Amino acid sequence: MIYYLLRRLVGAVAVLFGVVTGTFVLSHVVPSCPACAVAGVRAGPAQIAAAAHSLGLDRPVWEQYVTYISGLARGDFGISYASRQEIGPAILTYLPATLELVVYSFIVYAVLGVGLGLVWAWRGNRPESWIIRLFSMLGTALPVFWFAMVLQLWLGSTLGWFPITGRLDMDPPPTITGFYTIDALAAGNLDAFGNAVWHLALPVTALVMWLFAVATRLTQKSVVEEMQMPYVRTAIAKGAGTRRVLLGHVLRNAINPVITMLGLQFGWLLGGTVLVEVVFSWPGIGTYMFNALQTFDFPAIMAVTVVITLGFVIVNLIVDLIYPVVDPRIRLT
Amino acid sequence: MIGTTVCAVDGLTVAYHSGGEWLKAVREVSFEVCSGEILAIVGETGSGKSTTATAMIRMLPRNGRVVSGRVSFDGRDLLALSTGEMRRLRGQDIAYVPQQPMSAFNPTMTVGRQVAEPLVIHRGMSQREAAPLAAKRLREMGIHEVERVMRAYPHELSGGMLQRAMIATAMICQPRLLILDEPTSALDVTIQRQILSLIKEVQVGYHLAVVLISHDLTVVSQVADRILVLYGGRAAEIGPTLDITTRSRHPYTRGLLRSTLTGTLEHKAKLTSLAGYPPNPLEVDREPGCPFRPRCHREIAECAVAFPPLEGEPGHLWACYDPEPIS
Amino acid sequence: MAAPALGRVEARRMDLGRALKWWPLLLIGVWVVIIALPGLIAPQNPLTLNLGNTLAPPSGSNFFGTDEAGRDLWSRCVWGVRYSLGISIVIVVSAAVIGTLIGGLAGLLRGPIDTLLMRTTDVFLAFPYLILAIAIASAVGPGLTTVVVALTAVWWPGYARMVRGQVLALKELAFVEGARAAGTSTPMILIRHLLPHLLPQLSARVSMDVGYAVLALTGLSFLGLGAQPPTPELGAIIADARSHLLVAWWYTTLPGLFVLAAVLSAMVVNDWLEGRNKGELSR
Repeated sequence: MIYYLLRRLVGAVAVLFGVVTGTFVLSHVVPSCPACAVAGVRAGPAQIAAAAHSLGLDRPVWEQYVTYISGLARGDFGISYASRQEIGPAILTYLPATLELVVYSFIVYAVLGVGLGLVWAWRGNRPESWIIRLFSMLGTALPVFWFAMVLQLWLGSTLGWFPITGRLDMDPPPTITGFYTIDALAAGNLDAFGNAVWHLALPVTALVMWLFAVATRLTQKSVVEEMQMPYVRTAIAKGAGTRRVLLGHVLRNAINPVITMLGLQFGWLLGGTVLVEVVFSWPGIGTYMFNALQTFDFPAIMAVTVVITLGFVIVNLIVDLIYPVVDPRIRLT
Repeated sequence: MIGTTVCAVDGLTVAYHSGGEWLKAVREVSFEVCSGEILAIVGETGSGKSTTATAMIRMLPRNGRVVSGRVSFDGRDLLALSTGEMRRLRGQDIAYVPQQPMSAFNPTMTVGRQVAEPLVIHRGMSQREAAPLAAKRLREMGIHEVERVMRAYPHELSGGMLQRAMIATAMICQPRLLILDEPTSALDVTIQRQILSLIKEVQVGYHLAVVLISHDLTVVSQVADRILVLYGGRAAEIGPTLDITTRSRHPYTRGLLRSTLTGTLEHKAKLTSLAGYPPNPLEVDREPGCPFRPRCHREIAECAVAFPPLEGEPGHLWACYDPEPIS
Repeated sequence: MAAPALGRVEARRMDLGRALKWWPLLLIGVWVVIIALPGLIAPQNPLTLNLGNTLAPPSGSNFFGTDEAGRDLWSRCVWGVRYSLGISIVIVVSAAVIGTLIGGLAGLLRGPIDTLLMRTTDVFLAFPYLILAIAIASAVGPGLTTVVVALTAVWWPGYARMVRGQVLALKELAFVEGARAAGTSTPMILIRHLLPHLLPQLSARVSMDVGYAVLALTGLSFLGLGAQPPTPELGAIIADARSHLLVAWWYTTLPGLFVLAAVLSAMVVNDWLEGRNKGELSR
């Protein structure tokens, strides 16, 4: 078992390394002049050279690489071309908003996806299943950014049921986690809590609608396969009802491929988050990246890429760790 | 000591929907089982024995239907009960032990939890409350390292142990009717004997009514009190074990006996196998008369006209126009 | 309780099902017409400005209304979906070709090459594809070519994986040994002998991926990385619509329907192909 975990850990580190190296290579392939950007528009050759020196761009490439890596390890992401500020702290301020969005979307989508998959599997050919199938097909086919805008327009503006942009309409509660919802509850501020949830509704819906289909389909397939297994008959012979058979027996056996898929889909979720944040002017790293894209602020873009990859790698590592807990068969191999 | 009738099956006919057609797997089968006796239902694959059992407890697959008949238990027709009422009976008053213990357990749950499960379902106990009772039952079924077995996963135990655990599960709520589907087929011979004696012990100890399904006549004749022989979905012969093994009248039963080693036949008797193959349900439906005709050496004119009625002596009946003489 | 016989209703349903089996081809036909002859259904020029008629709601002359420069939105969408579908097909097919070659060779040759290739694809696969595409696209500069390159780079590992797996299974079969004995070079084995067996699964996957590629492509264009103005590209159009979100509902809502239609069609074709593949297997 230790061997299994070690291998996963090594794999995760390899991915991170690959990405970091990749971004470094990319940044040196870019036919731009970072020194020029930092020195400013009116800089002459001397200032540009000085800027280049301060950025360490006149050092040999491999030395720059090492500096880059060690910088990253320390959390130093370099300087943004656009703002001349350090990128690390900037990302840190934007991060909680994204985390809140991502975490809630993930929870809703996982629960909804698996739940609907169960209903579909159990209900076979009844109308409920057809509705679920239809919606999941539609969901996957949606461009998430467009759907976010549609929600914004129709549910937000036209019907006025939800806010159109931002995270909160009032002063944020004192920061503990950076999650407005949790912080509001911790401060006993129910108004803020409600408001934060209200603001979360549309972005989360957009993300979930786009993602849930895959989890649903996979759960359905997995559950249907498991239901053919002999132990299901045994459970029924003992007098178990539907709920017990599905939740107590079938699900724990069927959940394996679903968990893997949830981990992989996290990558989609991250990509989609960037798009949704832009639409809702959500102050997260997706918006930060978008702004960086507008100004070709390359270090910032690369920094966000690395951060997002890190998040993705961590989540998949957690998924790998969860496996043995859920499935005793893996524990023993 | 044979007691009262616990379960009476009357004219049971079961059909499956397959390939666009309805095929009858069980036709007008009737029998009774009383507390304190073991009734064995014997037949080849496709004879309808498993179907009969699953139909009794209403666990037919989605494409199966009970076409007609009545299954009385406690004066109630099981086929007419609501789903909820039936569910309450299963595992509590009527227990079913499925085939192949090795696959019948959930591989991701400990055996102990699964043995205790009927208590959790029917008596509302928590896992913790039910565990000691489960352990007790396991010990009763001849399992020695009870603690280890309770905590083990199914793939860690042998077939024999799993079968004992399965029987323990069935008995945990002290049912009045126990149905075992091929309890020994997946086990090797020495273990078979052990399980069979276990079944006998349990039956005697709890004064149970037991229905034992098997394709092996010799095996069941060691413990069964009465035997029902099925062929082509119909009852071919039914009677006390002694009658069936020493004075059988139906040519099929005789054929079965002759094709297996048994101590009750003369030592000079040859082993002969039954010619031909088990009947195709589609053909049995289409052609009138006795389905055993293609393989029967005693065929007479009436056999092709209609299925022979069950008749004979009190307690021993057979469905044949020209039964074997008593040897 | 009588057992029902197979009714006439069920029989009729089966005939209808058999006839409907071929309608995905019809769907493909429709899209081919749209891509090849856009002028047929969108007679207006997507690029013509008409500053006297900006942000007009849908009407008889402008089915989808007009955008902020007075351009007919319907035409822009039709041309836009041409781009989206066309480019997506190019991306996916390129990815499939590259992936097949790499994965196929890895599977046939095994050894260190195989391991290296597989580790590389592992890294690629374990990645949020949109982020990777953004990173690459931002490095090289926006434009349609960039996006094509970026997305192809992101997509090929999936095919490499799939093909390698299939090749590993297929190469045990006798005809491969026979080809080797006859002296066929490894690439030729892949192309002439194995490819026909790979095609069914490949084409099913390609059809599904075209749908996903459309989504990815429009997403990247939405962020400003894809086609540049005034080229009508659905993602870019929707991005432009943002500034007019509250006043021009048609501008936001309607172009997305085109994307939806394209992706749904891809999914339908994929379903159909997979159904046929399954049928083949059972034979």
